[in-house]
Amino acid sequence: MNPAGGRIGRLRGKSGPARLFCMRCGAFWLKSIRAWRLTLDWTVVLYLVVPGLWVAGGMYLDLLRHPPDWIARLPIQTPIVVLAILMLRARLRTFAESGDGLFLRASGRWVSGMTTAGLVYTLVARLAVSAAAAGLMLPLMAHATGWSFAAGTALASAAALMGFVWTLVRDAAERRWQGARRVLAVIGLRAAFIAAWVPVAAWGMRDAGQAAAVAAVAALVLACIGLAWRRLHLCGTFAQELEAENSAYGDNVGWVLMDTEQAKRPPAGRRPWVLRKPRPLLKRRDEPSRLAELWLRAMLREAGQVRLLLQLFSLGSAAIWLSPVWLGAIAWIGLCALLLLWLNGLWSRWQTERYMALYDWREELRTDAQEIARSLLLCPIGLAWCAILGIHAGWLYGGLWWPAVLLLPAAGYPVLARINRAATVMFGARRDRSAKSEAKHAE
Amino acid sequence: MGGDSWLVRAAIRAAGYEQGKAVLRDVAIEVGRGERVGLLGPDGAGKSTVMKGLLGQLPYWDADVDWRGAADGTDATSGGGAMNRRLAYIPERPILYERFTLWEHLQLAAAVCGISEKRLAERAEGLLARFRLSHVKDDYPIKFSKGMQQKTMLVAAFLLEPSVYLVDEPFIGLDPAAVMELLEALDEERARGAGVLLTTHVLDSAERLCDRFVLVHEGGVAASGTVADIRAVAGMPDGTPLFDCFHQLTRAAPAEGP
Repeated sequence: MNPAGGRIGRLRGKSGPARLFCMRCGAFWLKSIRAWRLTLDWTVVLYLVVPGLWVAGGMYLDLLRHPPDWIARLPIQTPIVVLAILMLRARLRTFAESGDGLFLRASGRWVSGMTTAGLVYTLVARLAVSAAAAGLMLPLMAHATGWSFAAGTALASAAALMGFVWTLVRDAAERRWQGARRVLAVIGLRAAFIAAWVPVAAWGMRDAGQAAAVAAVAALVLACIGLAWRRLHLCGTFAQELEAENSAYGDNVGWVLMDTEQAKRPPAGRRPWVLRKPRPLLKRRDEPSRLAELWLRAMLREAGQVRLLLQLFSLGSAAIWLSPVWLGAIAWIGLCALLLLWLNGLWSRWQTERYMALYDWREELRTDAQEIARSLLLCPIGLAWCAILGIHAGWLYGGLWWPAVLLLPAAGYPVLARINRAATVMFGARRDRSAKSEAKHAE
Repeated sequence: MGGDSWLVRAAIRAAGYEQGKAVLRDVAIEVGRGERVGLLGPDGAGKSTVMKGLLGQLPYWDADVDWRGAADGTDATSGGGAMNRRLAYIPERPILYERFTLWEHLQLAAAVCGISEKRLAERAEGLLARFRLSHVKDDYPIKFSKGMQQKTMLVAAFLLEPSVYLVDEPFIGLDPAAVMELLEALDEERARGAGVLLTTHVLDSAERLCDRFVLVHEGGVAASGTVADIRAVAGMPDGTPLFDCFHQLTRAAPAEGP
């Protein structure tokens, strides 16, 4: 009979920090994979992931067999920058759990054992990530740069060691600073690492002799050993380790569990960085407008949402600009409808947050506030797309088409208001149907 | 409690977390104007179930709940039991939104419950000063200490000036000064005519603070009424502290419910 917990469970009953570390590491990845499977079920894997990998693999092989001219024109810093981006996402992992504070952290042997295992895991993870990235990129770059297998291996090893150094430096910075200072420190350190790594690695791959490359890798090895030794003997790191583990889990599953408490991260600072002052944003101060304004404040403080919004805006702008004007106009309607649906989803999710759900929202208030809230982001983005369409028309046809830059947004505003209003009616009818169905089901 | 001074009357026939599976049976609770009613009981007795039921959060809730003013429409809202001008809930664990400042938490409460910005400013400034939170009103409460987070919930609840307060374990996480402020603020609300239903494990405080008690045990009511009534049910002499009556009733007596 299998012990409880399957493969992980088989390790139970055996003591030692390394075994506990392995159990936690396995549990972490199983938990993450289970979370991913919420989105990547077998239909998605069969119809999207496998064909996507097949097509991407084929394209990659085609690039290898028949390298296009543009690859030769890529600067040699390109793979080095990609490796740097991958290294700067890493953090030191110890798989600490809050329950460790009860007993485990009282034992120096267990703490140093778990930390050593964490350091080894982090280094192995850096080696694996750098090797995988270099293994994909360097065969392509070899056509243009003439890099040998040994040179590629040295670059990947150096990136892994540099990544390991980065995790320890980041760990120290995050222990030392909190809030805004921590964010600024990590940004500054990232910039410093890129500034140090990219030119030195490029020089190493281009001009440096074998002795210099070996010396550089040896220096990195020494730095790794020194920093790891120092980290191993530090006290008072538990709180930071817990925070790092929460962040690592959030990074891993955040894209799947974005609606849930599990993937939520508290703000970095004590105070908001966006819209710090409680100054009103809207002239109208009725209740629906006040609620819509609060929603807007919350959305603009979510870095992930703002990033998605900017990405959607950029993609939409590109789609409108690259299409013929008549097709751009059709695309504008489609994009606005897509944006409206997305904003509606954001509102619905916001309104079911536990704090909002504490209150008794009148249906009329909820509907009015939702409509105003959607318009606060739909109108500026929709009108900006209108202006881009107008600029595109002026650019293509010139002369009398240039006033379209102003006329299209002016005409677009009532259209957007009408679409938003229609959406309110549609969502209201859907909610009524759903409520009736639930009531019928309850009976 | 009888007569015409009630604010909320609940006759709970059965309640639970799954349809048809009652964890609470035949519990009657009434809170009157200016009254503090203590809902007491050991862990798992059903105190929080009563609170959740009154808040409209239970999937299985077979009860008649009457709110004063709801029938004649003078204080009626859309119902559902969540926080509004009729009912404020102060949970044991603070419930906060991570992207709102303290002031924005209050703004949301005011906007949903129909409180004007002018009234919000007047009332909230006083409450923030009373609970010593004025200097952090533009900070994120999610970053506060547990006690300060609890005070945030108190300010949000007092802002609404409801008829009834549901207060779940009010003394946990608050420093002594904040407990005093809370009790003073509740007294002022009682003087206004509001009623308070509070759950607590701190029986000494409950005995001093509450006018009446409902002792819930094993999903039913073991005793209810004033301290004298509880003593009588427990068969204890005059002067016996509530703590001893509680111990006697929860140790020996089975619940009165079926």
